[in-house]
Amino acid sequence: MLQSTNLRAEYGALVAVNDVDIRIETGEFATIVGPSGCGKTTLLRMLAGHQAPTDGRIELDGVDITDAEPQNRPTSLVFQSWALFPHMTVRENIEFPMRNSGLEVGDRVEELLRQVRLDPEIHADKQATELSGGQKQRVALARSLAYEPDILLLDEPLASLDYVLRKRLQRELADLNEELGMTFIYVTHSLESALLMSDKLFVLENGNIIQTGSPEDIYRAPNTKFIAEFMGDANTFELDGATERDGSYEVHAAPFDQTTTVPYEDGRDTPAYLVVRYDDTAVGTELTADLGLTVAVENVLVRGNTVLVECKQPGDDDEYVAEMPVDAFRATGIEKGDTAYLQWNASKSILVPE
Amino acid sequence: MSTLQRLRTRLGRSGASEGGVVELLAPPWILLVPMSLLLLVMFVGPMVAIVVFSFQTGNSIVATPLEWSIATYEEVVGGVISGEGVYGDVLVNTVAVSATTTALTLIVSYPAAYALARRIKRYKLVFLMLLIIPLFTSVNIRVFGWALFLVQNGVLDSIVGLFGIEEYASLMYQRSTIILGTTYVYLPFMLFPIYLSMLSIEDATIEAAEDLGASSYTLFRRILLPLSKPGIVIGSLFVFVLSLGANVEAEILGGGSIFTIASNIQYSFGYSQNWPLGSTQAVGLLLITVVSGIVILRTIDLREIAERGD
Amino acid sequence: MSTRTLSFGGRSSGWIWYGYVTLVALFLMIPLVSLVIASFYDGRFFSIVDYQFTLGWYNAALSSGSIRRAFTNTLFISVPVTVLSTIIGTAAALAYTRYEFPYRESFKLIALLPIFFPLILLGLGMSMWASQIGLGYGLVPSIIGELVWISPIVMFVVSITALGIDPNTEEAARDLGADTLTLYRRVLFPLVADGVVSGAIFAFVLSWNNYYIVSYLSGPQSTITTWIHGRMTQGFTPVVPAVASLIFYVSILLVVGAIVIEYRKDDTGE
Repeated sequence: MLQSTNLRAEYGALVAVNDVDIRIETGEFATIVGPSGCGKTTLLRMLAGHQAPTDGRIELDGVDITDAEPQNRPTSLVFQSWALFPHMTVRENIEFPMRNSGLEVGDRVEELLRQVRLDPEIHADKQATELSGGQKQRVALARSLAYEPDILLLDEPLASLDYVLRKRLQRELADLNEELGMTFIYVTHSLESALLMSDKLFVLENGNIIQTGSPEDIYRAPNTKFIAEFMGDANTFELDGATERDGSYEVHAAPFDQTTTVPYEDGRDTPAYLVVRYDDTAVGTELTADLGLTVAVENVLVRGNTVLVECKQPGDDDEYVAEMPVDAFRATGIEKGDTAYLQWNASKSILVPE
Repeated sequence: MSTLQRLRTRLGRSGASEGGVVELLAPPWILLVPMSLLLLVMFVGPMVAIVVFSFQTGNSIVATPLEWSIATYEEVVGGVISGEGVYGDVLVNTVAVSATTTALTLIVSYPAAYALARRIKRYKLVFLMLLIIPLFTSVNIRVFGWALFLVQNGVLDSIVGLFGIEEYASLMYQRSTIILGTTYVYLPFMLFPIYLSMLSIEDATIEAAEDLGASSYTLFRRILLPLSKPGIVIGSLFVFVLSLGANVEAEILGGGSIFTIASNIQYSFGYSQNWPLGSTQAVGLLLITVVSGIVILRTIDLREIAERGD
Repeated sequence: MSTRTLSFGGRSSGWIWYGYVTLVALFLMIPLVSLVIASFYDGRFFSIVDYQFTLGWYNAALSSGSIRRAFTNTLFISVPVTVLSTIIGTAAALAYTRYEFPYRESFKLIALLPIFFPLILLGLGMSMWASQIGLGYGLVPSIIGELVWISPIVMFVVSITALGIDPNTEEAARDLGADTLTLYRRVLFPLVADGVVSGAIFAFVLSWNNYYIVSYLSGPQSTITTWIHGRMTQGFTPVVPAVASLIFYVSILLVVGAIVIEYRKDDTGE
């Protein structure tokens, strides 16, 4: 188990990581997610030992490793740039950590290459500079695994790869985590990666962990408007009334001018926003769902087999979007410039505190 | 052995956090020591010596600053202002030589730098070598080569003779000959900074300008010139400062026909053995050099040069 | 469009640029070529039509005791300068490019400043300083003096190579268990090796050709450049072009070697 207590990093007056407590169980695939500049890379670098924390502790299975040098830590970092040694072959790159920690080489190189789905016959004796991006990424992974770390740290290593390759490697990383039983800590700004691979998610904003939980939990009950918007395209309504009633809240917002009851977990601050995702929202000529508002359709964008309907209320700048299947939208007969109802069912509403 | 045990033994081995003296023996400090010592002892020291000597009355240093004198400054600065003595002429000569050299090297280098960076693809390595080799040949050997070329019964005489021209004004020992020498010697110092700044202009920038209907004149004035300005600034400062200190050129090609600051300083130290007077003139050169050097170094981005890989 | 054909871009006008650069290159080669032509010429009045070839001056140069001594002295300065400036410059370049430390930019500024100094200023200051601190004049002071100018140049050359290395390289090596010795031996040194070799070659050639600093610090010892200068200003002999050419041949071989190494690297590993 990896645990940090009050972990803090300051650059002069700037607090990059603000008293962060995290706890990751052995074998878990944990993802630290947040926008650029949120302190996620600093946090990862402190876990790897490349940066000394200003304050706080890091413990691994009860041993304090806060001040351990990176070369003495059982962690290994896969860099965003992969940082393969360009003057070495693939084999030499992979043997490097084994020689450093006195591990038996044997045919481990071949074994590791197969593990990351590279053919040793073809790739083992290539120069590191001769590889493609995806291959470099795989070799960097194999090299880190060769170190036999307890914890594998990954700093957005898939960021510069194309979409298809990234998808495939995400799946492979998740499989590898399962297969090896090794703890993976992945840092990313891309929610898509976070949701797909992780057992546990830490959402970081301005150096603070603002929510921890499984991907489903966070998707279903985001802690803040920021997370709700970050988790996916959503319409946000500012509440102008919220009253508690039996573990739910009766809320009201000016744009839809209706009162509705939405379930809300206990022990959180009073809700301040109602959020509903684009794909839970539809437009229609009649109000058939629980909640809705009258809007003018400003624009219709086709996105594959769904359309994005961009709407505004007269005299208001806030834009609302409904994402619905092309056929369903065609059936309504609505066109750009028409007046319509933007609507959704009350159960799809999500309340979030300020 | 479990990883945790491995970790424990490693943590134990690295021992208590090394501090103080031991830390100074590790990189980067240990790497900084040789250069720092060298420059402190043999660069900062000598430059301070020049400044201190300029306030002395004889060829040795008097320890008490109360007995220092500004007589040499009065002589040199006063001489420049009143026009008495040689100092005014020397200053005018020197600045004229340096400014002309800077202008000439700029005019000659700019098209060549453009051509090398953007036009020449085949035999580029050969051209680069031809341009670099003179930089690594002793100044006095190159100047001597010019003398062999220009001197009576020299190479030029022989070539010109082929065309039947027997009588023409000798090129040796003229002011223009000194400028030929300095222009020659410092040309690469102008050419390479401009070449590097031209290399950093992306092809797409030029193509975009052409697509947007820029004439060749507009292309030059609005795109090439502004984007190569850092190279022009660095090159000009480089050539101006270095040619201020040019002495061998004046000595060999000018044959003592013209005095510059460098030859005057040399004279004060060598022939007339007046170190304070020589130092006072050197202080002027020192000031210009330090300021220009700092401007150059602040303009140069080593990282950018590294990325261009040339 | 008429602007196209006139412009910098016209493909047909490419030869003009080749022609111009060739002219500039010729201009730069004139004195060196003159030197070599003169060094093989046997006669008082020079003539291209009636060229009289001889190796006599080279023979005379190589058999003269004073010239041989000057060559030995030059080597005695250049070899230590090459070794020491390579060590000093490489160390400073690695510190500057691969580490963070307080006043890092100021360090670079001061360390590279000597490159931009007119050598007469360096030589003069050093000469006065050497007499004040009791260093005196001779081969050892010349070595120290040249180091001041040449170590920063090596630092410059190695820095360019070192800045091209992925900034995460050291962290990756540490992360994979490398101690400081392993990091330098297996990763950093191999990666900067090409830059160090070029830097060392440049250091040797610059020291081999140095006149100004040596002329102020060598005292009674004569090196090949001060010998040439003496012969140029007082008492020319036809041996001078041969001696100067010998220096030039050594320089050209080494510089061409350095450039070829540099370019071959660019072609193979990217």
